[in-house]
Formats: sequence, C-alpha cells, structure tokens
Amino acid sequence: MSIVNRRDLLQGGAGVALLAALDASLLGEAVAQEQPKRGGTLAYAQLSANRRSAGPNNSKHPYFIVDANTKQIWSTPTWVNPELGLELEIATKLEPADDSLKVWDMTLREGVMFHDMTEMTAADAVASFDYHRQNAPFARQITKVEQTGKYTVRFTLEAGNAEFGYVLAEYNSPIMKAAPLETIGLDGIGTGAFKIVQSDPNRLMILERFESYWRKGLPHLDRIEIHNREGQQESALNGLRSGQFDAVMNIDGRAALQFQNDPNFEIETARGGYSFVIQMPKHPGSPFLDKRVRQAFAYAIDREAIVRVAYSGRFGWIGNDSHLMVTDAAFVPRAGGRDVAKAKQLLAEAGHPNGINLGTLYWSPQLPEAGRYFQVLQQSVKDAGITLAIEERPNDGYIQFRTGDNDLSKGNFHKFAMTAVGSRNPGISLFRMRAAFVESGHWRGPEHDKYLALYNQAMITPDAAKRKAIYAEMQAILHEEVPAILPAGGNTLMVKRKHMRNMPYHPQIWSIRYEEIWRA
Amino acid sequence: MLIAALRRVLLSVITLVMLAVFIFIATEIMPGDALDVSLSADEIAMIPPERLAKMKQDLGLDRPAHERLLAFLNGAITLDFGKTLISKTPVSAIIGYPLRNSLILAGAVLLIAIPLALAIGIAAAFWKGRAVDHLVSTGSIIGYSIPEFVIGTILVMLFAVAWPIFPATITASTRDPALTLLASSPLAVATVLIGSIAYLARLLRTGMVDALASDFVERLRLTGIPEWRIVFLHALPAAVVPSLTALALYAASLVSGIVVVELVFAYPGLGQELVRGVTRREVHVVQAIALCSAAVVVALNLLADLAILMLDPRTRRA
Amino acid sequence: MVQPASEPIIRCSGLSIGYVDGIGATTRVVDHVSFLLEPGHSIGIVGESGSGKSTLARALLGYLRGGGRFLGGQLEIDGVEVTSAATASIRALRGLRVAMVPQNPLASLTYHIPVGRQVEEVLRARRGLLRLEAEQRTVALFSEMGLPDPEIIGRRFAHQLSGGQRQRVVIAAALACDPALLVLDEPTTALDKTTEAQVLELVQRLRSQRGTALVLVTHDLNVVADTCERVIVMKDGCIVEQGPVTTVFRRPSVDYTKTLLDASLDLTGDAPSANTLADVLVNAEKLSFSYGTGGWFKRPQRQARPTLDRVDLALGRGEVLGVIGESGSGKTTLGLILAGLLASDQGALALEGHSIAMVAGKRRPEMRRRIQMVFQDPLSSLNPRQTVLAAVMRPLRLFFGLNRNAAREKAASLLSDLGLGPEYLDRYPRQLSGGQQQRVAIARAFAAEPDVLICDEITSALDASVAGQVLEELNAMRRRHGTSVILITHDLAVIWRMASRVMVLKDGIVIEAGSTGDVFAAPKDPYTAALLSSATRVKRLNEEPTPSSLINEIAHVA
Repeated sequence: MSIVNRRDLLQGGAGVALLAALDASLLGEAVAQEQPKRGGTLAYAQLSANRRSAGPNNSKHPYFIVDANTKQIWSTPTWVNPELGLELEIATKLEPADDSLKVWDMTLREGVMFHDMTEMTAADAVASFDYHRQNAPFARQITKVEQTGKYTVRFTLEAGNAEFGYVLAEYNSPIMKAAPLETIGLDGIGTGAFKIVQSDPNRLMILERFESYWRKGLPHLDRIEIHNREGQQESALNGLRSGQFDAVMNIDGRAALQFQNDPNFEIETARGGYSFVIQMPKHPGSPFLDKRVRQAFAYAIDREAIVRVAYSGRFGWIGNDSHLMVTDAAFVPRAGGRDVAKAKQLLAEAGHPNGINLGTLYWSPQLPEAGRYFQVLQQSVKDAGITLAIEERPNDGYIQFRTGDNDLSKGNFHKFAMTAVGSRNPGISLFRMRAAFVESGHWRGPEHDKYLALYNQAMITPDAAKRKAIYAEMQAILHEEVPAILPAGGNTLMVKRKHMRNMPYHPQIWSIRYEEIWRA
Repeated sequence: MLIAALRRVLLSVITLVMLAVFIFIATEIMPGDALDVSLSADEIAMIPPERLAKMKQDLGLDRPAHERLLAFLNGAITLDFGKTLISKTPVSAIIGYPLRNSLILAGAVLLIAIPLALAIGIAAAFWKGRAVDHLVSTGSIIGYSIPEFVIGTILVMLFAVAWPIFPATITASTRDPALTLLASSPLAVATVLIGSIAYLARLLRTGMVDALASDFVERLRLTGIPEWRIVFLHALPAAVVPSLTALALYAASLVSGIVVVELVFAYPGLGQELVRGVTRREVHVVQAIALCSAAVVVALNLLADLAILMLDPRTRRA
Repeated sequence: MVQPASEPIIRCSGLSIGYVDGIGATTRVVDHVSFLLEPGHSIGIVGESGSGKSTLARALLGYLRGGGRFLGGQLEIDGVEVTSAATASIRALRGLRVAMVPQNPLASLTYHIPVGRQVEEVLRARRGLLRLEAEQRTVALFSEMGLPDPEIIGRRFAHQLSGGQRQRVVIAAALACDPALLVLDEPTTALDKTTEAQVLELVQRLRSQRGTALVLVTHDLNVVADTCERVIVMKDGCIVEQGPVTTVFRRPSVDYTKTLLDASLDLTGDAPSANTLADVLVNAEKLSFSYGTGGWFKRPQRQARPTLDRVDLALGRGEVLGVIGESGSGKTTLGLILAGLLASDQGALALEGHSIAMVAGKRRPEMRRRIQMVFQDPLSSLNPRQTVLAAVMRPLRLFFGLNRNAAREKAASLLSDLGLGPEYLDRYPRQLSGGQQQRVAIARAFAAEPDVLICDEITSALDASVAGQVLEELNAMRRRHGTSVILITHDLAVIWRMASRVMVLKDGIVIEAGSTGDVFAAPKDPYTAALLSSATRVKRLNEEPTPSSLINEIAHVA
C-alpha cells in the first residue's frame, strides 16, 4: 500500500526546509522569501453554489453550505492536491485489510480538537460516515463503518475500490461531531481551521480563526467572509473593483481578462477544472453505430481552435475523449492530433465519400463559453465533410431532455448532446464510460467488455503504478473506439487582489487550503 | 361607505384565492423538477434509477396535482408554504427576511420619492409649458426610460469605483436591522429612486394638469380664491385620486419586482430569492413568493381603493 | 337716447380676443365687440357654439383660458380696465365685484368638499369672515336660494344634490360677496325644464332684490326672452345685432337672428296633419327595460325604477311619430329597443303584424334591413377608417348584392338627394363637417331602403341653421321613399315641424300621446305644459308685452 504521505514526511525538522525549497521551486523566489503574516480578513465572493439551498435551521450543516467552503470548517480524512494526487489529511493511515480492497482501515490523528474543544475520536468518524453513506452519492459504496479502537475505523465496501481514499476527500466526507443521524452536523462544529460565527443562508458566512487547529501555527488569517454571488458576476466584480472583496472565485474567463493588466489584481487558474462530453447515441439506424464515423468525428474536430477561441488560449486544455482531466497523472493525450485527411478517408470507408450529416447537436449554457465552444466545433468539422446543426436548449430540464428515458420503443433514445463534467479521480472518471451510463452513448461490444474488465481489475489493484498502466490501456481503447468525445476542457479561475498571498487555485474548488492563505 | 369598503375587501380575498390557484397551476407546468437541479450531474451519475424514483416519491413529487393544490391552499391560509424539497427548510423561514427586506427598500424609496414627486409634479403642472415643466418632462422621460441596471452600473462606476464613497455591492446580512441594511445600500436606493421619482412625478403631473384644467378650478379662480388654496385644497386631492391605483401598482412592483437592482447590488430581497427558487426548481418557494407578491399587489390595490373611497365621495355609493 | 343714470359696470369697446396655439398662430374668437351695461340692468348674449360668447363672458372677469390674449380694444369692468390691469387688481374684482355662475354646476363644484364648505371658503377667503360667521352666512344664503334644509344640504357633496340644487349652490357661491355684476354661462343647459323655470325665477328675484347687473350667456333664446332687457346676438366672434329683447326678437334686422328665431317653436303655423292609424306598420306592446343592478364584480347601479316602463307604440305607414322627452326620460332606450340593439325585458314587437325578434342579431337580414337607425353623434357611428363611399355602399351590397359600380352610382345619387356632391364619396368622416357627417349617416340608412327609420336626436349636435337644412332634406327623403320615421328629440320645434303624432315620455312612462296639433294646443299633462311654456317664451313676446320689455324700449348707447 503506497499512498504518498507528504505531510508525514514533512513533520520532522528537515521537513520545513524541504517544504520551503519545494515552495520556492513552485512559486518563484520572491514569493517564497516572504514570511507569512498573521492576522487580517479575507473577503471573497463565489459565483458557483451547490444547489442545496439552506434554510435558517440547517445553514451550518456541511451538506447545506456551499461545497467550496466545507473544508474551512471541517476536516476530511484525506485531501486531493492540485495535481489530483491523494494525500492524508486528518487520517494518519489508510490501508486495505486484504487484496480484495473491500475492507479499509483508517487511523485518525490524535489530539485533534473540535471547535467546542472536545477531542475528535473514531466515534465521531463512525457517526459521520454512517450519515454520509446514506446521504452522499459517492459514499454510498460504504456498506458498513465501525469503530475498531479509540482512533481507528474500519470501512466495508460493496466492491473492491483501490481509489477509495478519494471518496474520503470529497466535500461530503467531513468529520462532524458525533450525534444521532437526525441532528448530526447541524451544530456547525468541525475540526477545521475556521469556525462559523455567522451564517446567513445563501448569502453570507463569516468565519473566525480556530486557535486550537490541529495544524500548529495555522491559520494565518483571523477571519474569512464568504459572500455568495451566485448568478451575479457583475455585482461580485463591482465588489472586487471597489475593494469590498479580495477575490472572486469561479469567474468567467472573458470577464477575468479585464483584470489581467491591472497591477492590483492577479488571475489564478487551476488546470483541468472541468470538461465537456459529447454523448453520441447508438440506437439502431444511428450513424454513430459505425466506429469509423465516430473516429472521423474525433479526428475532424479542431481542438486547438476551441482552446484558442473559447478559452482565449489560456484557460483551456485539449481533451482525450475520456473523462480524465489533463491534470490527472493518469491522463494520456490522444496520439496524432487533428487529421482531416484521415477523417475523410474514414468517412469514405464508412460509405460517406461525400461527407455526412450528423443531425443536431444540442447544448445548454451550463458555462459561459459553451456557445463559442460549439460554434468552433461545428465550423471545424466542416473541413472533413461533416455537417451538423447546433441548437441551444435551456438549462431547465436539460438533463431530462438530454437523457430521455431510454425507451427505444417510444423513440426516446437519448439525444446527440453535450454536457459539462467535473474533475474527479480516475476511478470515478473512467467509470462514466460504462455501457449502462448515458454519457458513453450506451456503448456496447467486446471492446466495451474489455474496458469494463480492465476497470474492475484496476479497482482491485492496490499498486498505483500498475493501476496507471491499466488506465492507459483503457484510454487506448477509448481512443480507438471513441464511444464519446471530450474535445476540450476549461480551467477554473479566480481573480484576486495581489495582497492575498499563497492563494493558488485548485481544480477541485473545495480542496483549496484556506489555512495557508495570508494577507500582506 | 362601510358596505363599499367591505365589498372591496371581500373582492380582494376572492381575487387572492383565484390568484393562488393560478399560481399553483402555473408553477406546476414548469419543466423539470426539484431533483434534476438540486443534484449535480456528477452526482446523478452515481445514483441508480430506482433510487431516483424513490427520492421523488419521498419528496411528494408523484402525488396527484389536485392533492397538492389543496395542500397548497390550505397551507397558504396558515402561512405555511411547506418545506423546501431538498433541504427540508420551512419556506416561510426562507422568504420571511427577504420579504421584509423588499418591503424596507420599497418603503424607503416611496417615503423619499412620493413627497419629492409630489413637489415636482405640482410645480410642473402649475407652470405647465414653462421652463420648469420642460425640465421636469425631459428629466422624467430620461430617468424613467434608462434601464435600472444601466443607472445602477453608472452609479457604481462613479461612486464606488472611481470615487469610492459608497459600497458597490451590499455585504450586509439578510437579517441585519433595517437601518443597517439601508445604510449599506445607498446606491441601490438611489437607483430605484431615480426611476421612481421620474415615474411618479410624471404620473402626478398628469393628474395635476387635469385637475387644474377642471371646471371647479376655473370657478374658484373666477371667484378670486387664493391660488395656494386652489392648488393644495381643491386640485391636489383631485389629482391624487386618479393616480392612486397606478401608485399602488407601482408600489407593489417595487416590492416584488426590483429584481434587476437586487442582482446589480446583491440586495437580499424577494427578487433574488425568486430567481434562486426558479433556478433550483424549489416549487414551494416560487409559489410562496408569487403568492406574497400577489398579496402585496392585492393589498395595495385595496388600500388604494379604500383611500379613493375616503378622498372621492362619489365612489361611496354602494 | 337717454343718458345712463350712473357709470356703466361694463364698458366694452372694440374688444378683440384671440387664442394662440402651439405654433404661434392666433385665432380670433371675439372680434371688435362693443357694448355697455349699466348697474342693475341685464343683458343676454346669444349665439351658436363657436360664436365667442363664452370667451366674452369669461373676459368680463378678466379671465382668459389657456392661450387666450386680448388683441385690442378696451374692456372696463367696474372701473377697472381688465385688458391691461395688474393681476392683483383683477383678482380684487373677482368674487367681490363680478361673479360668475359657470355652465356645468356639477363639474364646477369641487367633488371632494361638501358644498357648504365651498361657499364658506368664498366668504372666508374673500370677505375675511371667521369660520362661524361664514357658516351662518352660508346657511342664510342657501335659504335665500330656496334650498330646503340648508344646513343638511351644506354638508352634502355636489353629486348628492339634484341639478337644480347644485345650480342654486353655485349661484349662492357667486353671490356670497354681493357682487355688482353676475355673469351666468348657460345656467339652464344642464337642467330639466321644470327646474329651469325655477332657477330663472330665482335669478330674476335675486336681481330685483339685490340690484345686481346681469349678463346671461346662452344658446336658448327662450331663456333670454324671459330674463333679459337687452340682447346681443353673436356670430363668429362679432356682434351681428343688439338691442332691446322685444325689438330684436320681434323685428330681427339680420338674417342670422331670423334663422335662430325660426328654430324656436312657433305654434302659429300648422303641424303636419295626423291621419287615422289605418295602416299600422310597427306595433310595440309593453316595452320595458331596466339596467342590471350589477353583481359582485360590477359597480352596482341603484335602479329605483325601470328606464322604460311598459311603453306601447304604434307607427303608421309613411308617418312621422315624434317622441319627446328630456334626458333620462327613456327615449333613447326606446329607440335602441326598436332598432334591436337592446332587448326589451318583456312585451312584444311586430312589423306588419308579424312578430319579430327583440335582438337584431336574431332577426332575419330582411328584417334588419327594414328597420334602420340614425344616431345623435354621426362621428361615433361612422367607421373613421372607412370612406363615405364604403359606408354608404355597405348596406347596398349587403342587402341588395349590388356590384361595385352599381353601388357607387346608387350611393352618389343618395348623397346628391341630401345635397352632397360625388366629390364627398372618397372622403373620410373626419374630413366632413358635423352636418355633412349626419347627411352621410342618413344616406347610409336610406341605402337599405328601410320601412322604418329611427332618428335619435339627429340634429341636437348641430347648429340651428344647419339643423334646419338637415331636417328639410330628411323630410324630402322620407316622402320620396315613403318611409315611416320615429323622431326622438327634446326639441319641440322639430316635432312641431315634422311629426304628425307625438308621444311624451317622462321617467320611462308615456304621459301623453296624440296628434301633434292637439297635444301642443291643449296639453293634458302639466309636464307637457311646462315643456311647451318654456319653449314658447320667444314667441309669447310678440303677444304679451311685459313691463320689463317696455323698459327695454329705452334705447341704449351701443
């Protein structure tokens, strides 16, 4: 079992120096030399919110506050770093009990205090995960969670999962103070670096430093004010310009560019935030039943042009037709790039020497650049003789529209459509291309079966390097079979004032380390 | 007069019930349901279909419409609009403060706008066709026709960014006291105020011009009654009466409809909550807000009607 | 020529008044007018609408409506030259020295203030009386005006009073400060004849008691005949004739005055003779109508009695039946029911003995064709976007299926019968004068070749001279076509001239009916008698010289 344990490594005396050297190499000389200052407030606005509107009675529950803020107040057993690697957080050890990878033992850090100054123990973790496994989709694979010692917990899963550690880093995996299922979490008490002093549902949350935070010497900030500006980017940016906010999270790339030449501001991006998947229906009579048409489509798309036009060349990346983000260590780029000639040849072989009409590709404005994105896509495939119409549909009811109920007898197959996908670990991302899921276009056949067999094998392969090799093999299948196309993705970004230091962005917005941020 | 007043009250109640039914039907036919938008696509990917169906059942989304209508009407009477579908919060707790805040903003605006608009409207009508009148007419057309978000954005650029004396976005909490809220919202108040004064001044000018052109004003002038008595004691009530219904509708639109200003300044009012309710498919929230807005409209109309009953004795025949 | 006993209260010489419109053009509405009025004397100003008489009346108080300008001449009121005086000195005149009784007492009283308070306001603001004094004085004034229960009336609002009471309140407000000159602008137009007589009596009495000089502006020569010593006849802003009432009315020196006098009822001629009703064309029984009292969603209308109450009517072939009544008598409702535009609540309607449906929509087209109606206001009954040709052609094509050319020819001939040349065919209603519009409406009605034509006050919006012509042409048309006409009007002179039989409506009930000659010669009902009496005052001047008219023989300096 070999999960990188960076923090443990750095706990010793030599660790600090090493960390400084590491930071210096990552962040550059000038910043690294500055000593973090203690105190001050960070006020920021966030434009994205999860959809679980809180009310006054549950506004302190981790499930009902904006996911991006959970880890300021609560700690999770593990943490996903900006390279999407897994690290231990409040757990000091996480190991499978056997090779089936169905049973995992976790050891918790000792001496971690809740905000009410009681010590966190395995009982709290068991109560918390009992709640999570019944309420959070990603934790549903946990069939049993039991206390095995004061600080040790055992998870039993429904099937082996080599990447179970990622589940424990989800925003819906915080450790709350033990309480009955009905009331757990409502007190808003966690072990995080900040504690809640005021919570105004859907609008405002004010946090203050927790003096007994388990990471000694942290946090640097005294106070954080989080302003929800969901759907109100202009108001958020006005607040940034007027100095009311120090940062705005999840800003649209075009809006961010107006700050790029202002010396007071910095644009922070996290590579590989999200992507778009084009689901290609494979019902009888669909042109997409023919692998060569799918391949031709994949070769014909000018992915560089999409990054250039829709992402200003800076805030996007080229996808590889899997759900993996470019940031992921397991990500394998498609070989060859764009090849119009090959696309034409494939179409000719498939019986479309004069080009092919693929019908209408539907999209919804889930992200501001979607319109430009699909216009570029539509134009670029014309070079290979592929024509398609693009049609915008409202976000309202889009999922139902896009997926249909798959009742072929009623002609209700899912649409030729796109949707946005988020950043997750390979185990989750690659699973999305299974036949039973709409995003694969209900891809079937021996290659699919091989793909799924590889996936199942990876899930019970403890060795990360071996898993990575399996993942590469799976992506090779996708590059050949092209069950779905993920042409390009975007980076998440924020604009902040320069005086906020050590505040890098993260592909998973909920994994930003706020306790390390300081104010100059 | 009492009978006339009671008749109007009863009519208002009937109107409100009909509106409630209409609101229910209108919100029922919205596409999608709460589940689709309350869960992210990433999460839905992890949930088996049979479990999704079970969740819909738990939320009561599969109950027949007439059952839900009765529950809605029953709840509306007791101000119990049910709970939100996902977070299970009472809807009344969610919209209570936003409603209060919308009333505060509308109230503050009207409190300033009505006296100013009265003064401006009277002056313009009294000196009709003169420079004052032209100034007022031009100004009010400009003030009323520029969209609020343009006015708001200009005010922010001038007084919050270029010359930072006021906050650009409102950081006060939903539950802050009225004065704290207003003190942190000067530009939002100013934005609404510009449009309000422009609209109301035009309204009152028109009413006043008509009143001053009436036969009774001519008779009073021919009798040598001092002009101030004519304007304030005779013409003013006659100018206000026909404007009252429009004024009530305008006031109601301020309570329920300053969505644009709320978005530009992030004012914690009812409009924001409505937008959120619609995007999140929180049907109960949308229904409750629509009903509250309707109630405000009906109530203000009723007030206007009762005020007209007081001011115009001709309407008292019942 | 007798030298006036004192300084005249009005000295008007060469006075011209105009209105300036938005683009600076001036329209002259009073043109070189000169006259004098001594204190305590009375003068009537008569003329049709647009003659400038109302502008002149207001000018007597130094008041011009918006855009008005004095263009020349002098106007001295009680020694103040109002064309050039300072605002303050003109204001000092108003209410105290000169007062005005406006045309429409309902609109002229502030609707939201009790009437008593409005009179008190005059006393307090103009006379400086204290509240209590003003209250007592108001009550006294009200009783002097003959208002019953003056204290109670004073607490009422204008709309709660009857027309006569309102007029008395307005007169009380005008007389509150004992002015030397009282200007009355159409004081009786809004009143029914019975009330009119009482109000005129009151004015006469007050004038004799208080010695107030009087200027009475009206279109009704009968009112002047009763009330004034002298009369001024105005046309297009000019005085065409002035002199003592008896002189002017007995021996008018200009044609215009004669035209005005002709329009008044003159019983000396013969009414059209009435045949016995041998050939009954239309027979109606027990026609009744009540307006609904409204439900929860309608403003309730208190309907104490039906608008029309069991009216029987028979119309002979080729006959003209006059229906007389004042506003509110139900005469228009009767017309609408006969035309099928309202349904009678009960009763029956028959044409040539065959029962026909109450509502036009349920009548056969042939029945609809045979009954046509012409309304008071032609502009609202003609489609403003339709040419004259289109309007007249519609019934021709609808009922007779004429092709376009034939229909055009027929329309042109109908119009020419009414004195309109073919050049009018392609005009729009708005481009026509009131008289021309009404001719088009009549032509359209005759285009359907009806058996029955219902005419509802078709001349009341027209000036007397035009009205005379239109009635002549209508008479000729109906003779030629053999059409039966139901002539609804409040004007007895029209009935006298046109109708062989007449029925008098009051409060929805027929109170008298018979041949016109009989009814006018010997009215059985006192209401009919009152109508006749007030309509014949001009003519009676010829018969019974009154003392006042003798005084008028004294010549005045013009």
